[in-house]
Amino acid sequence: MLGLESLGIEWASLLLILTIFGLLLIGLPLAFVTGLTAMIFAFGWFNPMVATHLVTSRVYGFLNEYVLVAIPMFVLMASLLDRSGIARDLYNTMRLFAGRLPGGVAVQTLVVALFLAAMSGIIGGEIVLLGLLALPQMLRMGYDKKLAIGTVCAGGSLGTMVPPSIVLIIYGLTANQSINDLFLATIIPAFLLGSLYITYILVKCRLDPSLGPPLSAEELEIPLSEKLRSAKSVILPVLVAAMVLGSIYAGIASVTEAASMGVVGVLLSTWLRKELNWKMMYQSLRQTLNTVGMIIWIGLGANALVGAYNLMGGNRFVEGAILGLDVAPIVIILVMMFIMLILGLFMDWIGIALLAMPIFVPIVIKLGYDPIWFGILFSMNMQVSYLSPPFGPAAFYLKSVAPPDISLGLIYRSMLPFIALQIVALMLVLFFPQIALWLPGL
Amino acid sequence: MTQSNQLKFQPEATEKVFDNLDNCDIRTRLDAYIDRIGSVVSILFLVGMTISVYEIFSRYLFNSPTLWAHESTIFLVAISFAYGGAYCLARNTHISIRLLYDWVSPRTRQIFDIVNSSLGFIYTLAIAWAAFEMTRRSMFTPMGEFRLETSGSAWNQPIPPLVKASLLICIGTMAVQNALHVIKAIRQGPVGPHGTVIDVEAN
Repeated sequence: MLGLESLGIEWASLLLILTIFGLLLIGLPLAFVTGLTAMIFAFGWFNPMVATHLVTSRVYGFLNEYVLVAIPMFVLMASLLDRSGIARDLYNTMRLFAGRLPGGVAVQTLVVALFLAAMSGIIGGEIVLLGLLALPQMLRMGYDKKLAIGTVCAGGSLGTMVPPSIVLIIYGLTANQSINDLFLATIIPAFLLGSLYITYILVKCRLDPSLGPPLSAEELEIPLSEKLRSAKSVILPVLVAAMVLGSIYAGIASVTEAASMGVVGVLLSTWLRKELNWKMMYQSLRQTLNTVGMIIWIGLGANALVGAYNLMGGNRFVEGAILGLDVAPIVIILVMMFIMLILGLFMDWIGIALLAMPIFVPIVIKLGYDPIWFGILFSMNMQVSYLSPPFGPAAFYLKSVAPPDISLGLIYRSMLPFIALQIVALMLVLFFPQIALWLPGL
Repeated sequence: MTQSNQLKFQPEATEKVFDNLDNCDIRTRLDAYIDRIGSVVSILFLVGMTISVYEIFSRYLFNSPTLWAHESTIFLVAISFAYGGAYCLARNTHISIRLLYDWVSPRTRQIFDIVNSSLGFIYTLAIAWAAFEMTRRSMFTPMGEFRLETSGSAWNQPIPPLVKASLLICIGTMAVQNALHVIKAIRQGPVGPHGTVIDVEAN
């Protein structure tokens, strides 16, 4: 209609990228950026009949994905957990992991972070909880500030990788891959990342014990009754998490049904802990509506944009350009990782998952790689984007609960060694795909 | 001594922080209504959850899978998805990059606000039209006769027109919201970094 088609796909692609970044820069919400760009290109390239049909069918189709129903359920589950005292009791119970080792409390924090990640699929809440629980504890004991902050942020963002991760659900949806397989494939890489963090902390504190003083003997001494009480109160929520993941892995329930069961389980646990009340319910539900509104509306726009771009021949153009390069396939994967890292500096994971994955995944498949493996690389990559400046959300979440003397700059500096570890883990999975593919292949 | 190592972690503290995370910026009266209605719409998540769980029980315990659970869950949650867009717009919580926005002068920021809300208006108006066409086609035959499109499954209820109509209502509301934001941005004068109105006269 606007004669954009006379530009040719090469210039149109460039114009599209410039439009997206230009609109993002002036502060237009990502949900509208993707949607508006989709509109401009759909109506600019095709006649209005085709354009309307394209946009409506993409939008309506996206809203009707059954898998998407799992997202509000997992978000609701996490919001309820965040508002209960379950994280606190879990933290107290896990004190046995701290032991007398230098750096022990940081290790304890990571173990708790792994558990919390297995109970919810989003980050943010976890960083806030760990920032409220673990950070003051470590600072009081005289831990090195940078080590303490880095541990909290790195641990809190494990949620993107540990099942049930919403990042992987969205990836599975856009790349048309089995979410069960993705959830299986991510287990070993997630533990690998967790162990890298723990090893780093232990080695660093062994070399310089002043970085993470151990708990004193009297602090380690907890009466048995106290231990039992706090252990008892976490058994139920841990069981709920095990049940949710178990029923997905065993194929008893779909991801969506398992997520719904998870919400019921958490509701029951909080009720038995005498914490459930209307206010908590009301706040959690509203938070869920807000989070889901953000995610889905970015999704609607991005889905329409990808639909328009592909119909314009964009996917064939990018595919041809990339497959035409005279380089080893692994170099192409590395370049994709690099592009995602750069995009991750500016954009939320949901935008990258919905915009870049529909273009990247078919290429990955054509190159002969496993899209499940690529999904794990993607989620590891998004971990980096959670931490990395200038927009790493982890820092903002932590800043909102950290003592005032901890600056955003200090938080970002503290994350650097952990970002390096994430990249190491990413490279390990990249060059040894079996780390991810062994479990689903069994 | 045993008590001293117990964490001083109060539930109230978390509550305060999470309310803080929910920090929102409600600009017009319509936004305030949408925000309030949101607490009713969000109950749909609980209804969807209940239906899903009921389906699991009837499948495994009573060995009689339902025909309607799957579709009705999607239907209810799709409505809340559509509403979520208006809800986030009302609360100004859609994700955006604020780097340049926070950096520029209040007057430029006002221009950004006007431009952004106008672009938002154009987008929502365009998809409102598309949603209108889609809804019309699911309710009327090309000849203009009233005929509700059905889902075509074993249950075969007129779910699609309901979802499409709710989508149309939500998007239409968003277009009005955006239009009101444009008017608000023009009227209120230069604004501070987080949407606070700056009193130019006082400076």
